[in-house]
Formats: sequence, structure tokens, C-alpha cells
Amino acid sequence: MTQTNETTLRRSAEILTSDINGELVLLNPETGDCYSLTGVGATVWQAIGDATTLDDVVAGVCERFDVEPERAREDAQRFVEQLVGEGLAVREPLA
Amino acid sequence: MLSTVLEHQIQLFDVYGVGVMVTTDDDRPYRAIESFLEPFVTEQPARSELAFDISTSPRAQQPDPDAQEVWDAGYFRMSKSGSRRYLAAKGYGTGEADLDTGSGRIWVEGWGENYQWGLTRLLFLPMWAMLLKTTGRFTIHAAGVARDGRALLFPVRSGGGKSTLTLNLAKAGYDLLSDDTQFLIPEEGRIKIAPFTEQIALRKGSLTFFPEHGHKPVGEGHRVLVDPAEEGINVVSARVEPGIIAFPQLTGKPESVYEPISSAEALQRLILSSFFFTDQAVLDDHLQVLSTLVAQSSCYRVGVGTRSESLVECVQRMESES
Repeated sequence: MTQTNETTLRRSAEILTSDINGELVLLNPETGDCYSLTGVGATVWQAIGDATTLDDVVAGVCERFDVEPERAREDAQRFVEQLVGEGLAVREPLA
Repeated sequence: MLSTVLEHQIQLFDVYGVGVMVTTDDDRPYRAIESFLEPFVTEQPARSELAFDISTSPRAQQPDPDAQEVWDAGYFRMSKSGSRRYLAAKGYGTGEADLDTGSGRIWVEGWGENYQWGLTRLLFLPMWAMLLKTTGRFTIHAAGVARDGRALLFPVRSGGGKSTLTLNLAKAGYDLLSDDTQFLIPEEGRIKIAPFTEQIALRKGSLTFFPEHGHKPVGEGHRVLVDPAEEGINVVSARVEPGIIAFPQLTGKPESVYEPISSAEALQRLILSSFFFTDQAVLDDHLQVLSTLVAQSSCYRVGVGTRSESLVECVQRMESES
């Protein structure tokens, strides 16, 4: 299943986040894995709330960066897949 | 049971606002703990939040056989099961802590030449540090010195050269914060480093710093304890601001080198070295304390060479850049 506007996204509950000098560090305490996010990646993460659609994420990216919406959608889609694959975010059907 | 009470000796400590009570049933562990926690001795802490019992009797109940292994360094093992944490130090004894009750127990098994180091550093210190986290007092495993009110911290695992760094820099005029454990104290949204000038634990290679003492050689995984004051090392007496965090690696080459690293990389390295056994309930607090520390510091990676003068010059260059 890929991220569409028929699905929503939320952060995995166990993931801890810290903003350090503008760089986000994500920690999965279960695995001990750490991730560092800057730029678009950090913006995507910050755009993800409890029930966020891909449109919400794209809007957040376009608001922050001077980028065409289609390009932003492609980048956001790809990054969201990585977040889900790493267990940092969870995809759910739209309620 | 007055006789039972008299057989057990109680010690009280105030560890930066956290009351710690240690009960022992023998003079040897009593003296070892008294020496280790000497800076924190108190007549009466505000309240006792953590309690340790150190026993020289055989352990009656064995650890949970299904406990999950967390660390195995051969001579030292850690495992966990629910709120319980287990330690085993080969030749020295075993320990068990309960994060829910803030209590720890140690069963001493060996009274060899280095038992004081084994009891305090391998058994007591890890449990003490993990239980302190539950009270909001966080530490990092790092060597630390200070100059002009700023701390220079060198986080590294055991055997990674902490004492080599500490002693080289102390001999060059830096003041000792701690050879092994740094206390991170939140103050008005910032972090300060509080001193813990316990005895320095020297491994085989570091004994060459004190040839005049003729310390007997020790085996791998063992240490000799040295009193900083007796060695003429100045110690820090007040809290200081973080200045530099440098992650050292012994290179075996003569010259020491350094390069800056990002705050995020420094934070990740600290997390990996200090999140062992952190209770789920205080993980976020722990992360925020480490983040604040890193944000206040200039961060580096250091290749520690064998030539003392080069190491000191390297550290001084980092200081002048930061």
C-alpha cells in the first residue's frame, strides 16, 4: 500500500524526536536506531500529525520550499515510504 | 530485631538532591562505597529515593533465566526483564535493580586485590546511574576536565582511553571533573556539568603515568584505583558550563588529530552510549537533556595519538576554535 489521499499517516508512538540546532534527530528506543533529518525530510516529519494525508504533507513542503507541487508530491511520497518502511510512521485507512 | 539492625551498616548520601541509602553487612563493601561516594556523604538527606543493599552472603534467588541480554563483554554482562535489570561481573559478584521501586541489590563474590574497583565500578555504578535516571538525574559515561569554567567531555566506552585523556590533560593544567562519570544538571533551561571526582581507575596501559608508585601490573579487564589529590591533580569544585564534547578513538599513531562533527551526529553517539537501561518512562527526558547538552557544546571526533604533547595541543586547538 502506498501513501494516497485515501490513507492517512501518523508518527509511530514510540519514536522520540529532538530538534537540535535546526536538525531533527529521531530515536527508535526499541531498536536503538537513530535518524537525522534536515531540509525537506524534517519538514515532512513536522507535517505529520495524528491523521495526515499526503496532500497535507505536500502543502507543508510547498509552504516551506520554492518547489512545484508535483515535484513536492513525488519527493514527499518517496520519503513517506521510507518513514513507513523504517517503522517511524504508520499508515492507516482514511476514517 | 535489634541484633539484625546492628549487623547492617547504613550509609546516607545526597547525590545532587537525590537521597541514596546504602546498607552493607561487612566492613569491606562499607569502606569501598564510602570512598567511592565520599563527595556525597551526608548525615541526613532530604529524603531517600534510592536504596541499595550490598551483601556478602551467597545469593539465594537467581536472576530471571529468560532475561533479555543487553550487553556481554565477557567479564561483564547486563540483562533485563520487565522493570528488573541484572548485572554480572566475573570474579566480583552479581547485581539486580528494580526501576519501579528504586532499589538495588549486590551480592559480592570476590575479594581479590581489585575488589574495590569491581564492586564500585562494575556492580554499583551501573545500577546507581540507571536508578538515578528514574529520579531525573542523568549522567554520561565520559572522561571530563575543565578550564576557565568550561567543561571538555570525552565520551567513550570502557577501555577506550578515558584515563589516558584525563591524565594527559590534568598534567597539562586542566582541572579534573571526573575520570568516568559526568553529572548533567538542568539549570534554568540549560545543562551544567557537576563534578564527581572519584578515584581514577587505571588499566594496565595507564599505569605508566605513575611509574614512581610502582603499581603492580593488572590483568585485562581490571583496574587500579588512584586518588587524584594524592597525585597532585586539581579537581573541579563547582558546576561548569559545557564547552566541548569530543569522541575519542585511540589511533596508535604519534600525533593526535580532530575534526568537527554535527550536533546531530554527536547526539546520536551519546544516545548509543548512554541509553542502556534507561527506563521507558524517562526516555524523553533523557533525550532532551542530552540534546540540550549537545546544543550548548562544540562537537568533535578526536584521533588520540600516543604523544602527550600532541594530544594537549590538539585539545587546545579545539578550545580556541570553539
